[in-house]
Amino acid sequence: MDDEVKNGFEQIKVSDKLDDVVDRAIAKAKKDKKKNMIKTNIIKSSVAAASLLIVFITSIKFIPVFAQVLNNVTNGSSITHEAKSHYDKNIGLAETGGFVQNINESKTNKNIKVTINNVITDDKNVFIFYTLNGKLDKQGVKNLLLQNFKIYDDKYDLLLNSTSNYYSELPSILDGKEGDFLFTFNNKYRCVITSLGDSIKNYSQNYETYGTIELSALNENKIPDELNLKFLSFTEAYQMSYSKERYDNFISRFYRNPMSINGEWNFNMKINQNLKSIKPENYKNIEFSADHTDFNIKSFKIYPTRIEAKIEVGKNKLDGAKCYSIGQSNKNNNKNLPYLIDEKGNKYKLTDKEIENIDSDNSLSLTFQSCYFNYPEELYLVLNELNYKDESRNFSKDIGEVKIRIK
Amino acid sequence: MNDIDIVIKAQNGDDEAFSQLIKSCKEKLYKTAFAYLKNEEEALDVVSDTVYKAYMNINKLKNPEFFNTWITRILINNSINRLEKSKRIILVDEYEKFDDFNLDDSDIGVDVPKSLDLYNAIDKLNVKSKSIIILKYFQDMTISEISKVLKIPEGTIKVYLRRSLKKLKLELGEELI
Repeated sequence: MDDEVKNGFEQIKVSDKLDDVVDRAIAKAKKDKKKNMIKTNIIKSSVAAASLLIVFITSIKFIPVFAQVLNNVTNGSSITHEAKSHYDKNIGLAETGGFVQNINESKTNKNIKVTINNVITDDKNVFIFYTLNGKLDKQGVKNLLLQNFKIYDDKYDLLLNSTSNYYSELPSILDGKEGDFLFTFNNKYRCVITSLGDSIKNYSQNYETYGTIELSALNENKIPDELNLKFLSFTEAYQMSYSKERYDNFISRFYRNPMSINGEWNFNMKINQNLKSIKPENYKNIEFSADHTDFNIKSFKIYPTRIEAKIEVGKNKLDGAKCYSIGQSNKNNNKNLPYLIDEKGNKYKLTDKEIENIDSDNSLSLTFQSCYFNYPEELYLVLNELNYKDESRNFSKDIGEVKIRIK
Repeated sequence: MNDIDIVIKAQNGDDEAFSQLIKSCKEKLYKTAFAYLKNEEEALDVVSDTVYKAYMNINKLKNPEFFNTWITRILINNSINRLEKSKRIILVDEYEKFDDFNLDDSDIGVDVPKSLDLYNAIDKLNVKSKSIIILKYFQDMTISEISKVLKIPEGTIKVYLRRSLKKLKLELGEELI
Protein backbone atom coordinates (compact mmCIF):
# COMPACT_ATOMS: atom_id res chain seq x y z
CA MET A 1 0.00 0.00 0.00
CA ASP A 2 1.30 3.45 -0.80
CA ASP A 3 1.79 5.31 2.46
CA GLU A 4 2.81 8.50 0.77
CA VAL A 5 0.39 11.38 1.32
CA LYS A 6 -1.52 11.92 -1.92
CA ASN A 7 -2.68 15.52 -1.90
CA GLY A 8 -4.55 14.99 1.33
CA PHE A 9 -7.01 12.34 0.10
CA GLU A 10 -5.19 9.62 2.00
CA GLN A 11 -6.14 11.33 5.24
CA ILE A 12 -9.68 10.02 4.67
CA LYS A 13 -10.23 7.18 7.13
CA VAL A 14 -12.64 4.45 6.13
CA SER A 15 -15.68 4.35 8.41
CA ASP A 16 -16.08 1.33 10.77
CA LYS A 17 -19.73 1.17 9.70
CA LEU A 18 -18.96 0.70 5.99
CA ASP A 19 -19.23 -3.12 5.89
CA ASP A 20 -22.51 -3.10 7.76
CA VAL A 21 -23.97 -0.37 5.51
CA VAL A 22 -22.97 -2.27 2.36
CA ASP A 23 -24.46 -5.56 3.62
CA ARG A 24 -27.75 -3.88 4.50
CA ALA A 25 -27.93 -2.13 1.12
CA ILE A 26 -27.46 -5.43 -0.71
CA ALA A 27 -30.09 -7.14 1.48
CA LYS A 28 -32.63 -4.37 0.81
CA ALA A 29 -31.92 -4.44 -2.91
CA LYS A 30 -32.42 -8.23 -3.01
CA LYS A 31 -35.77 -7.89 -1.23
CA ASP A 32 -36.99 -5.03 -3.47
CA LYS A 33 -35.92 -6.82 -6.64
CA LYS A 34 -38.00 -9.83 -5.61
CA LYS A 35 -41.03 -7.60 -4.94
CA ASN A 36 -40.65 -5.93 -8.35
CA MET A 37 -40.55 -9.31 -10.09
CA ILE A 38 -43.83 -10.31 -8.48
CA LYS A 39 -45.39 -6.97 -9.53
CA THR A 40 -44.15 -7.45 -13.12
CA ASN A 41 -45.78 -10.87 -13.31
CA ILE A 42 -49.09 -9.47 -12.15
CA ILE A 43 -48.88 -6.70 -14.73
CA LYS A 44 -48.04 -9.14 -17.52
CA SER A 45 -51.05 -11.26 -16.76
CA SER A 46 -53.27 -8.15 -16.96
CA VAL A 47 -52.08 -7.18 -20.45
CA ALA A 48 -54.96 -8.90 -22.21
CA ALA A 49 -57.43 -6.99 -20.08
CA ALA A 50 -55.53 -3.74 -20.73
CA SER A 51 -55.66 -4.20 -24.51
CA LEU A 52 -59.40 -4.59 -24.34
CA LEU A 53 -59.57 -1.34 -22.38
CA ILE A 54 -57.55 0.48 -25.05
CA VAL A 55 -59.95 -0.69 -27.74
CA PHE A 56 -62.79 0.50 -25.51
CA ILE A 57 -61.38 4.01 -25.05
CA THR A 58 -60.54 4.33 -28.76
CA SER A 59 -64.15 3.54 -29.49
CA ILE A 60 -65.27 6.42 -27.29
CA LYS A 61 -63.07 8.80 -29.24
CA PHE A 62 -64.15 7.85 -32.72
CA ILE A 63 -67.73 6.72 -32.40
CA PRO A 64 -69.87 9.46 -30.90
CA VAL A 65 -72.92 7.23 -30.73
CA PHE A 66 -71.01 4.76 -28.60
CA ALA A 67 -69.84 7.63 -26.44
CA GLN A 68 -73.42 8.72 -25.99
CA VAL A 69 -74.47 5.26 -24.87
CA LEU A 70 -71.61 5.19 -22.40
CA ASN A 71 -72.59 8.58 -21.09
CA ASN A 72 -76.04 7.34 -20.26
CA VAL A 73 -74.53 4.58 -18.19
CA THR A 74 -71.75 6.44 -16.38
CA ASN A 75 -72.97 10.05 -16.17
CA GLY A 76 -70.17 11.22 -18.41
CA SER A 77 -67.37 10.35 -16.01
CA SER A 78 -65.47 8.25 -18.59
CA ILE A 79 -65.75 10.91 -21.26
CA THR A 80 -64.66 13.73 -19.00
CA HIS A 81 -61.72 11.62 -17.84
CA GLU A 82 -60.54 11.72 -21.41
CA ALA A 83 -61.20 15.45 -21.56
CA LYS A 84 -58.95 15.97 -18.55
CA SER A 85 -56.07 14.00 -20.01
CA HIS A 86 -56.46 15.55 -23.44
CA TYR A 87 -56.24 19.08 -22.21
CA ASP A 88 -53.51 18.79 -19.61
CA LYS A 89 -52.04 15.44 -18.60
CA ASN A 90 -51.28 16.75 -15.13
CA ILE A 91 -54.97 17.50 -14.63
CA GLY A 92 -55.74 14.01 -15.88
CA LEU A 93 -53.73 12.69 -12.93
CA ALA A 94 -55.78 14.70 -10.44
CA GLU A 95 -58.36 11.96 -10.53
CA THR A 96 -56.03 9.36 -9.07
CA GLY A 97 -55.25 11.77 -6.24
CA GLY A 98 -58.96 12.02 -5.41
CA PHE A 99 -59.13 15.73 -6.25
CA VAL A 100 -62.10 15.63 -8.59
CA GLN A 101 -65.35 17.10 -7.29
CA ASN A 102 -68.40 15.40 -8.83
CA ILE A 103 -71.24 17.80 -9.59
CA ASN A 104 -73.49 15.79 -11.99
CA GLU A 105 -76.06 18.55 -12.32
CA SER A 106 -78.10 19.14 -15.51
CA LYS A 107 -80.18 22.05 -16.77
CA THR A 108 -82.38 22.04 -19.88
CA ASN A 109 -83.45 25.00 -21.97
CA LYS A 110 -84.40 25.26 -25.64
CA ASN A 111 -84.27 21.45 -25.78
CA ILE A 112 -80.61 21.42 -24.99
CA LYS A 113 -79.41 19.67 -21.87
CA VAL A 114 -76.23 20.97 -20.26
CA THR A 115 -74.60 18.82 -17.60
CA ILE A 116 -71.79 19.95 -15.33
CA ASN A 117 -70.00 16.64 -14.74
CA ASN A 118 -67.17 17.56 -12.40
CA VAL A 119 -64.75 20.22 -11.31
CA ILE A 120 -61.06 20.38 -10.37
CA THR A 121 -59.93 23.53 -8.65
CA ASP A 122 -57.32 25.16 -6.48
CA ASP A 123 -56.81 28.80 -5.48
CA LYS A 124 -55.59 29.82 -8.92
CA ASN A 125 -57.50 27.72 -11.45
CA VAL A 126 -60.78 25.94 -11.92
CA PHE A 127 -61.44 23.30 -14.59
CA ILE A 128 -65.14 22.76 -15.24
CA PHE A 129 -65.99 19.64 -17.27
CA TYR A 130 -69.37 19.59 -18.99
CA THR A 131 -71.46 17.66 -21.52
CA LEU A 132 -73.88 19.13 -24.07
CA ASN A 133 -76.81 17.08 -25.37
CA GLY A 134 -79.08 18.23 -28.18
CA LYS A 135 -81.14 15.07 -28.56
CA LEU A 136 -84.17 16.41 -26.74
CA ASP A 137 -85.12 18.42 -29.80
CA LYS A 138 -87.23 16.50 -32.37
CA GLN A 139 -84.93 17.51 -35.14
CA GLY A 140 -82.03 17.38 -32.73
CA VAL A 141 -79.45 20.15 -32.59
CA LYS A 142 -76.15 18.52 -33.24
CA ASN A 143 -72.44 19.10 -32.86
CA LEU A 144 -72.85 21.67 -30.09
CA LEU A 145 -69.98 23.92 -29.05
CA LEU A 146 -70.12 26.35 -26.11
CA GLN A 147 -70.15 29.89 -27.46
CA ASN A 148 -70.93 32.44 -24.75
CA PHE A 149 -71.12 32.43 -20.99
CA LYS A 150 -70.70 34.56 -17.87
CA ILE A 151 -69.09 33.62 -14.56
CA TYR A 152 -69.93 35.31 -11.26
CA ASP A 153 -68.79 34.87 -7.67
CA ASP A 154 -71.12 34.11 -4.73
CA LYS A 155 -72.22 37.75 -4.53
CA TYR A 156 -72.98 37.79 -8.25
CA ASP A 157 -70.06 40.09 -8.98
CA LEU A 158 -69.06 39.41 -12.57
CA LEU A 159 -65.68 37.69 -12.92
CA LEU A 160 -65.65 37.17 -16.67
CA ASN A 161 -67.97 37.83 -19.61
CA SER A 162 -67.06 36.02 -22.79
CA THR A 163 -69.56 37.78 -25.05
CA SER A 164 -67.89 38.93 -28.27
CA ASN A 165 -64.60 39.10 -26.52
CA TYR A 166 -62.49 36.26 -27.93
CA TYR A 167 -58.86 36.65 -28.95
CA SER A 168 -57.43 35.57 -32.25
CA GLU A 169 -54.26 33.96 -30.87
CA LEU A 170 -54.31 30.90 -28.69
CA PRO A 171 -51.95 30.19 -25.76
CA SER A 172 -48.91 28.03 -26.55
CA ILE A 173 -50.21 25.29 -24.25
CA LEU A 174 -52.82 24.47 -26.96
CA ASP A 175 -50.31 24.09 -29.79
CA GLY A 176 -50.80 20.82 -31.63
CA LYS A 177 -53.92 19.92 -29.63
CA GLU A 178 -57.00 18.56 -31.37
CA GLY A 179 -60.27 20.29 -30.54
CA ASP A 180 -62.08 23.62 -30.85
CA PHE A 181 -60.88 26.45 -28.64
CA LEU A 182 -61.91 29.89 -27.50
CA PHE A 183 -59.68 32.20 -25.46
CA THR A 184 -60.62 35.32 -23.53
CA PHE A 185 -59.32 37.34 -20.60
CA ASN A 186 -59.63 40.55 -18.63
CA ASN A 187 -57.24 42.08 -16.10
CA LYS A 188 -58.26 39.63 -13.35
CA TYR A 189 -59.19 36.35 -15.05
CA ARG A 190 -58.29 34.34 -18.11
CA CYS A 191 -60.39 31.61 -19.69
CA VAL A 192 -59.90 28.84 -22.25
CA ILE A 193 -62.85 26.86 -23.56
CA THR A 194 -62.00 23.49 -25.07
CA SER A 195 -64.72 21.72 -27.02
CA LEU A 196 -64.24 18.06 -27.88
CA GLY A 197 -66.38 15.72 -29.93
CA ASP A 198 -66.91 18.16 -32.80
CA SER A 199 -67.42 15.99 -35.84
CA ILE A 200 -68.75 17.32 -39.12
CA LYS A 201 -68.26 13.86 -40.62
CA ASN A 202 -70.54 12.17 -38.10
CA TYR A 203 -72.77 15.20 -37.82
CA SER A 204 -76.06 13.37 -38.20
CA GLN A 205 -75.34 11.22 -35.16
CA ASN A 206 -73.40 13.70 -33.07
CA TYR A 207 -75.97 14.74 -30.46
CA GLU A 208 -73.52 14.85 -27.61
CA THR A 209 -70.28 16.75 -27.21
CA TYR A 210 -68.21 17.63 -24.18
CA GLY A 211 -65.70 20.22 -23.09
CA THR A 212 -63.79 22.16 -20.47
CA ILE A 213 -63.91 25.69 -19.16
CA GLU A 214 -60.57 26.59 -17.62
CA LEU A 215 -60.75 29.78 -15.57
CA SER A 216 -57.43 31.12 -14.24
CA ALA A 217 -57.01 33.88 -11.66
CA LEU A 218 -54.32 36.39 -12.67
CA ASN A 219 -51.87 38.30 -10.48
CA GLU A 220 -53.01 38.34 -6.84
CA ASN A 221 -56.62 37.29 -7.59
CA LYS A 222 -58.01 33.93 -6.54
CA ILE A 223 -60.81 31.57 -7.53
CA PRO A 224 -63.78 32.22 -5.20
CA ASP A 225 -65.24 29.48 -3.00
CA GLU A 226 -68.54 29.65 -4.87
CA LEU A 227 -69.16 30.17 -8.58
CA ASN A 228 -72.30 31.02 -10.52
CA LEU A 229 -72.03 29.96 -14.12
CA LYS A 230 -74.43 31.12 -16.82
CA PHE A 231 -74.26 29.45 -20.24
CA LEU A 232 -75.75 31.85 -22.82
CA SER A 233 -75.37 30.32 -26.26
CA PHE A 234 -74.11 27.38 -28.29
CA THR A 235 -73.10 27.03 -31.93
CA GLU A 236 -72.38 24.31 -34.48
CA ALA A 237 -69.00 25.72 -35.58
CA TYR A 238 -66.69 28.52 -34.44
CA GLN A 239 -65.88 31.40 -36.75
CA MET A 240 -62.40 32.22 -35.47
CA SER A 241 -59.21 32.84 -37.47
CA TYR A 242 -57.67 29.60 -36.20
CA SER A 243 -60.91 27.62 -36.83
CA LYS A 244 -61.32 28.86 -40.40
CA GLU A 245 -60.84 25.45 -41.97
CA ARG A 246 -63.52 23.79 -39.85
CA TYR A 247 -65.91 26.70 -40.38
CA ASP A 248 -65.40 26.57 -44.15
CA ASN A 249 -65.87 22.77 -44.09
CA PHE A 250 -69.20 23.25 -42.33
CA ILE A 251 -70.46 25.74 -44.92
CA SER A 252 -69.32 23.69 -47.89
CA ARG A 253 -71.00 20.59 -46.39
CA PHE A 254 -74.32 22.12 -45.35
CA TYR A 255 -74.59 25.19 -47.63
CA ARG A 256 -75.57 27.39 -44.71
CA ASN A 257 -74.04 29.28 -41.80
CA PRO A 258 -73.76 27.42 -38.49
CA MET A 259 -76.77 27.80 -36.22
CA SER A 260 -76.51 29.50 -32.85
CA ILE A 261 -78.93 28.73 -30.04
CA ASN A 262 -79.40 31.37 -27.36
CA GLY A 263 -80.83 30.64 -23.95
CA GLU A 264 -79.91 30.50 -20.31
CA TRP A 265 -78.54 27.57 -18.33
CA ASN A 266 -77.60 28.53 -14.77
CA PHE A 267 -75.45 26.62 -12.33
CA ASN A 268 -74.35 27.33 -8.79
CA MET A 269 -71.21 25.51 -7.65
CA LYS A 270 -69.83 25.47 -4.13
CA ILE A 271 -66.20 24.56 -4.51
CA ASN A 272 -64.85 21.64 -2.52
CA GLN A 273 -61.99 22.83 -0.34
CA ASN A 274 -59.86 19.74 -1.03
CA LEU A 275 -57.40 21.35 -3.41
CA LYS A 276 -58.13 24.95 -2.44
CA SER A 277 -56.81 24.38 1.05
CA ILE A 278 -53.47 23.05 -0.21
CA LYS A 279 -50.71 25.60 0.25
CA PRO A 280 -48.39 25.78 -2.74
CA GLU A 281 -44.89 24.29 -2.60
CA ASN A 282 -42.87 27.49 -2.40
CA TYR A 283 -39.24 28.19 -3.35
CA LYS A 284 -37.66 31.61 -2.90
CA ASN A 285 -34.62 33.59 -3.97
CA ILE A 286 -32.88 31.18 -6.31
CA GLU A 287 -30.03 33.21 -7.82
CA PHE A 288 -28.28 32.30 -11.04
CA SER A 289 -26.30 33.78 -13.92
CA ALA A 290 -26.66 33.26 -17.64
CA ASP A 291 -24.86 35.13 -20.41
CA HIS A 292 -23.11 37.37 -17.85
CA THR A 293 -26.51 38.53 -16.55
CA ASP A 294 -27.73 37.98 -13.00
CA PHE A 295 -31.21 36.64 -12.26
CA ASN A 296 -33.14 35.91 -9.12
CA ILE A 297 -36.15 33.62 -9.02
CA LYS A 298 -37.84 35.57 -6.25
CA SER A 299 -40.68 33.13 -5.88
CA PHE A 300 -41.63 29.79 -7.43
CA LYS A 301 -44.97 28.38 -6.33
CA ILE A 302 -46.21 24.91 -7.32
CA TYR A 303 -50.00 24.79 -7.09
CA PRO A 304 -51.94 21.62 -7.95
CA THR A 305 -53.08 23.12 -11.27
CA ARG A 306 -50.40 25.69 -12.19
CA ILE A 307 -46.90 26.88 -11.39
CA GLU A 308 -46.26 30.60 -10.89
CA ALA A 309 -42.75 32.04 -11.04
CA LYS A 310 -41.52 35.56 -10.51
CA ILE A 311 -38.02 36.21 -11.90
CA GLU A 312 -36.02 39.37 -11.36
CA VAL A 313 -33.84 40.11 -14.41
CA GLY A 314 -30.63 42.12 -14.51
CA LYS A 315 -28.23 43.88 -16.83
CA ASN A 316 -25.60 42.21 -18.98
CA LYS A 317 -22.24 42.85 -17.29
CA LEU A 318 -20.33 43.00 -20.55
CA ASP A 319 -22.34 45.44 -22.64
CA GLY A 320 -24.77 46.95 -20.14
CA ALA A 321 -27.87 45.91 -22.10
CA LYS A 322 -30.94 45.40 -19.97
CA CYS A 323 -32.70 42.05 -20.07
CA TYR A 324 -36.44 42.60 -20.47
CA SER A 325 -37.82 39.15 -21.30
CA ILE A 326 -37.13 35.48 -22.05
CA GLY A 327 -37.71 33.62 -25.32
CA GLN A 328 -39.89 36.31 -26.90
CA SER A 329 -38.10 37.02 -30.18
CA ASN A 330 -40.50 35.08 -32.39
CA LYS A 331 -44.08 34.70 -31.24
CA ASN A 332 -44.76 32.18 -34.01
CA ASN A 333 -42.00 29.89 -32.85
CA ASN A 334 -42.36 28.32 -29.44
CA LYS A 335 -38.93 26.69 -29.42
CA ASN A 336 -37.32 29.59 -27.56
CA LEU A 337 -39.89 29.76 -24.80
CA PRO A 338 -38.76 28.78 -21.30
CA TYR A 339 -40.14 25.56 -19.85
CA LEU A 340 -39.77 23.26 -16.86
CA ILE A 341 -38.51 19.69 -16.89
CA ASP A 342 -38.36 17.05 -14.17
CA GLU A 343 -35.91 14.21 -13.63
CA LYS A 344 -38.07 11.81 -15.66
CA GLY A 345 -38.02 14.13 -18.70
CA ASN A 346 -41.62 15.36 -18.29
CA LYS A 347 -41.91 18.86 -19.74
CA TYR A 348 -44.20 21.56 -18.37
CA LYS A 349 -44.97 24.38 -20.80
CA LEU A 350 -45.79 28.04 -20.34
CA THR A 351 -49.55 28.51 -20.28
CA ASP A 352 -49.27 31.48 -22.65
CA LYS A 353 -46.69 32.26 -25.34
CA GLU A 354 -46.70 35.93 -24.41
CA ILE A 355 -44.88 36.79 -21.22
CA GLU A 356 -46.21 39.92 -19.55
CA ASN A 357 -44.10 43.03 -19.58
CA ILE A 358 -41.49 43.49 -16.90
CA ASP A 359 -42.91 45.15 -13.80
CA SER A 360 -41.61 48.01 -11.69
CA ASP A 361 -39.42 45.58 -9.70
CA ASN A 362 -37.65 44.45 -12.91
CA SER A 363 -39.46 41.13 -12.58
CA LEU A 364 -41.20 38.84 -15.05
CA SER A 365 -44.22 36.75 -14.06
CA LEU A 366 -44.40 33.33 -15.73
CA THR A 367 -47.11 30.68 -15.42
CA PHE A 368 -46.44 27.04 -16.33
CA GLN A 369 -48.39 23.78 -16.34
CA SER A 370 -48.11 22.13 -12.94
CA CYS A 371 -46.02 19.08 -12.07
CA TYR A 372 -47.96 18.61 -8.83
CA PHE A 373 -49.50 15.22 -9.55
CA ASN A 374 -46.30 13.80 -11.06
CA TYR A 375 -44.52 14.22 -7.69
CA PRO A 376 -41.09 14.95 -9.17
CA GLU A 377 -38.01 14.85 -6.95
CA GLU A 378 -36.13 17.25 -9.19
CA LEU A 379 -37.39 20.17 -11.23
CA TYR A 380 -35.43 22.47 -13.53
CA LEU A 381 -36.21 25.73 -15.32
CA VAL A 382 -34.80 25.70 -18.86
CA LEU A 383 -33.94 28.90 -20.73
CA ASN A 384 -32.81 29.12 -24.37
CA GLU A 385 -33.03 32.76 -25.29
CA LEU A 386 -32.76 36.11 -23.53
CA ASN A 387 -34.23 39.37 -24.84
CA TYR A 388 -32.28 42.59 -24.25
CA LYS A 389 -32.56 46.26 -25.01
CA ASP A 390 -29.98 49.01 -25.02
CA GLU A 391 -30.20 52.67 -26.00
CA SER A 392 -30.58 52.00 -29.70
CA ARG A 393 -32.39 48.68 -30.17
CA ASN A 394 -33.99 45.52 -28.90
CA PHE A 395 -32.16 42.26 -29.59
CA SER A 396 -32.14 38.59 -28.61
CA LYS A 397 -29.40 36.14 -27.69
CA ASP A 398 -29.44 32.41 -28.10
CA ILE A 399 -27.79 31.10 -24.91
CA GLY A 400 -28.10 27.40 -25.69
CA GLU A 401 -29.86 25.33 -23.05
CA VAL A 402 -29.36 26.65 -19.54
CA LYS A 403 -30.90 24.59 -16.74
CA ILE A 404 -31.54 26.01 -13.31
CA ARG A 405 -32.44 23.64 -10.52
CA ILE A 406 -35.55 24.63 -8.59
CA LYS A 407 -35.75 21.49 -6.44
CA MET B 1 -11.74 -16.01 -12.53
CA ASN B 2 -11.18 -12.51 -13.88
CA ASP B 3 -13.20 -9.39 -13.04
CA ILE B 4 -15.30 -9.52 -16.20
CA ASP B 5 -16.43 -13.06 -15.39
CA ILE B 6 -17.45 -11.99 -11.90
CA VAL B 7 -19.51 -9.12 -13.35
CA ILE B 8 -21.22 -11.48 -15.80
CA LYS B 9 -22.01 -13.89 -12.95
CA ALA B 10 -23.48 -11.01 -10.94
CA GLN B 11 -25.59 -9.98 -13.94
CA ASN B 12 -26.92 -13.53 -14.10
CA GLY B 13 -28.17 -13.30 -10.54
CA ASP B 14 -25.20 -14.61 -8.55
CA ASP B 15 -25.39 -12.62 -5.30
CA GLU B 16 -22.02 -13.89 -4.09
CA ALA B 17 -20.39 -12.52 -7.22
CA PHE B 18 -22.07 -9.14 -6.69
CA SER B 19 -20.88 -9.01 -3.07
CA GLN B 20 -17.36 -9.80 -4.28
CA LEU B 21 -17.45 -6.93 -6.76
CA ILE B 22 -18.61 -4.48 -4.12
CA LYS B 23 -16.03 -5.71 -1.60
CA SER B 24 -13.23 -4.92 -4.04
CA CYS B 25 -14.29 -1.30 -4.56
CA LYS B 26 -16.20 -0.26 -1.43
CA GLU B 27 -13.33 1.59 0.20
CA LYS B 28 -12.60 3.62 -2.87
CA LEU B 29 -16.31 4.40 -3.25
CA TYR B 30 -16.52 5.55 0.37
CA LYS B 31 -13.42 7.75 0.12
CA THR B 32 -14.68 9.34 -3.10
CA ALA B 33 -18.06 10.10 -1.51
CA PHE B 34 -16.29 11.51 1.54
CA ALA B 35 -14.13 13.75 -0.69
CA TYR B 36 -17.38 15.38 -1.89
CA LEU B 37 -19.35 15.48 1.30
CA LYS B 38 -16.70 15.67 4.05
CA ASN B 39 -19.14 13.91 6.40
CA GLU B 40 -19.09 10.27 7.51
CA GLU B 41 -22.85 9.69 7.75
CA GLU B 42 -23.61 11.36 4.41
CA ALA B 43 -20.82 9.46 2.68
CA LEU B 44 -22.20 6.17 4.09
CA ASP B 45 -25.70 7.09 2.85
CA VAL B 46 -24.36 7.78 -0.61
CA VAL B 47 -22.45 4.48 -0.68
CA SER B 48 -25.60 2.66 0.47
CA ASP B 49 -27.68 4.27 -2.34
CA THR B 50 -24.97 3.46 -4.86
CA VAL B 51 -24.74 -0.22 -3.89
CA TYR B 52 -28.55 -0.48 -3.94
CA LYS B 53 -28.82 1.11 -7.42
CA ALA B 54 -25.93 -1.02 -8.73
CA TYR B 55 -27.67 -4.21 -7.57
CA MET B 56 -31.02 -3.18 -9.05
CA ASN B 57 -29.56 -2.10 -12.39
CA ILE B 58 -26.55 -4.33 -13.02
CA ASN B 59 -28.42 -6.04 -15.85
CA LYS B 60 -28.44 -2.73 -17.75
CA LEU B 61 -24.63 -2.61 -17.88
CA LYS B 62 -23.88 -3.49 -21.52
CA ASN B 63 -20.09 -3.80 -21.22
CA PRO B 64 -19.03 -5.77 -18.10
CA GLU B 65 -15.46 -4.53 -18.46
CA PHE B 66 -16.67 -1.04 -17.52
CA PHE B 67 -18.16 -2.03 -14.15
CA ASN B 68 -15.84 0.24 -12.15
CA THR B 69 -16.49 3.20 -14.45
CA TRP B 70 -20.21 2.57 -14.22
CA ILE B 71 -20.44 2.29 -10.45
CA THR B 72 -18.16 5.33 -10.00
CA ARG B 73 -20.57 7.33 -12.16
CA ILE B 74 -23.52 6.27 -10.02
CA LEU B 75 -21.62 7.27 -6.90
CA ILE B 76 -20.62 10.67 -8.28
CA ASN B 77 -24.21 11.43 -9.35
CA ASN B 78 -25.50 10.44 -5.91
CA SER B 79 -22.82 12.59 -4.23
CA ILE B 80 -23.65 15.60 -6.37
CA ASN B 81 -27.38 15.17 -5.73
CA ARG B 82 -26.73 15.03 -2.01
CA LEU B 83 -24.52 18.13 -2.17
CA GLU B 84 -27.13 20.02 -4.19
CA LYS B 85 -29.97 19.02 -1.90
CA SER B 86 -28.19 20.32 1.14
CA LYS B 87 -26.60 23.42 -0.37
CA ARG B 88 -29.06 24.31 -3.16
CA ILE B 89 -26.19 24.64 -5.65
CA ILE B 90 -27.53 25.84 -8.94
CA LEU B 91 -26.83 23.59 -11.90
CA VAL B 92 -25.83 26.33 -14.35
CA ASP B 93 -22.49 25.49 -15.89
CA GLU B 94 -20.83 28.43 -17.54
CA TYR B 95 -18.19 26.17 -19.04
CA GLU B 96 -20.57 24.17 -21.18
CA LYS B 97 -20.45 26.49 -24.15
CA PHE B 98 -16.73 26.84 -24.87
CA ASP B 99 -15.10 25.38 -27.96
CA ASP B 100 -13.39 22.03 -27.87
CA PHE B 101 -9.70 23.00 -27.58
CA ASN B 102 -6.99 20.87 -29.10
CA LEU B 103 -4.99 20.44 -25.94
CA ASP B 104 -2.68 17.61 -25.08
CA ASP B 105 -1.69 16.58 -21.58
CA SER B 106 1.29 18.92 -21.50
CA ASP B 107 -0.99 21.90 -21.96
CA ILE B 108 -2.50 21.23 -18.59
CA GLY B 109 0.78 22.64 -17.57
CA VAL B 110 0.62 22.36 -13.84
CA ASP B 111 2.35 19.68 -11.88
CA VAL B 112 0.62 19.26 -8.57
CA PRO B 113 3.06 18.63 -5.71
CA LYS B 114 2.08 15.67 -3.59
CA SER B 115 2.17 17.75 -0.43
CA LEU B 116 -0.55 20.11 -1.66
CA ASP B 117 -3.77 19.86 0.24
CA LEU B 118 -6.05 19.35 -2.76
CA TYR B 119 -8.47 17.53 -0.50
CA ASN B 120 -9.46 20.81 1.13
CA ALA B 121 -8.79 23.07 -1.83
CA ILE B 122 -11.36 21.37 -4.09
CA ASP B 123 -14.21 22.75 -1.98
CA LYS B 124 -13.58 26.06 -3.73
CA LEU B 125 -14.42 24.52 -7.12
CA ASN B 126 -17.74 23.90 -8.86
CA VAL B 127 -19.11 20.40 -8.84
CA LYS B 128 -17.87 19.39 -12.29
CA SER B 129 -14.30 20.58 -11.66
CA LYS B 130 -14.32 18.93 -8.25
CA SER B 131 -15.29 15.60 -9.84
CA ILE B 132 -12.47 15.82 -12.36
CA ILE B 133 -9.86 16.66 -9.71
CA ILE B 134 -11.04 13.80 -7.47
CA LEU B 135 -10.92 11.27 -10.28
CA LYS B 136 -7.51 12.44 -11.58
CA TYR B 137 -5.57 13.06 -8.41
CA PHE B 138 -7.31 10.72 -6.00
CA GLN B 139 -8.39 7.81 -8.14
CA ASP B 140 -5.42 8.22 -10.56
CA MET B 141 -7.67 7.98 -13.58
CA THR B 142 -6.47 9.00 -17.03
CA ILE B 143 -8.24 11.69 -19.03
CA SER B 144 -9.79 8.96 -21.17
CA GLU B 145 -11.14 7.12 -18.10
CA ILE B 146 -12.52 10.33 -16.60
CA SER B 147 -14.21 11.06 -19.92
CA LYS B 148 -16.00 7.68 -19.72
CA VAL B 149 -17.09 8.14 -16.12
CA LEU B 150 -18.42 11.67 -16.48
CA LYS B 151 -19.53 11.33 -20.13
CA ILE B 152 -17.75 14.55 -21.07
CA PRO B 153 -15.43 14.85 -24.12
CA GLU B 154 -11.71 14.54 -23.37
CA GLY B 155 -10.96 18.03 -24.68
CA THR B 156 -13.53 19.49 -22.32
CA ILE B 157 -11.99 17.68 -19.38
CA LYS B 158 -8.57 19.09 -20.19
CA VAL B 159 -9.94 22.61 -20.28
CA TYR B 160 -11.74 22.12 -16.97
CA LEU B 161 -8.55 20.77 -15.41
CA ARG B 162 -6.49 23.67 -16.67
CA ARG B 163 -8.97 26.26 -15.42
CA SER B 164 -9.43 24.53 -12.07
CA LEU B 165 -5.72 24.28 -11.37
CA LYS B 166 -5.20 27.90 -12.42
CA LYS B 167 -7.98 28.91 -10.03
CA LEU B 168 -6.42 26.88 -7.25
CA LYS B 169 -3.05 28.45 -8.04
CA LEU B 170 -4.58 31.88 -7.54
CA GLU B 171 -6.33 30.78 -4.37
CA LEU B 172 -3.38 29.01 -2.83
CA GLY B 173 -0.58 31.33 -3.93
CA GLU B 174 2.70 30.04 -5.40
CA GLU B 175 2.51 26.49 -3.95
CA LEU B 176 1.53 25.03 -7.27
CA ILE B 177 4.67 26.08 -9.09
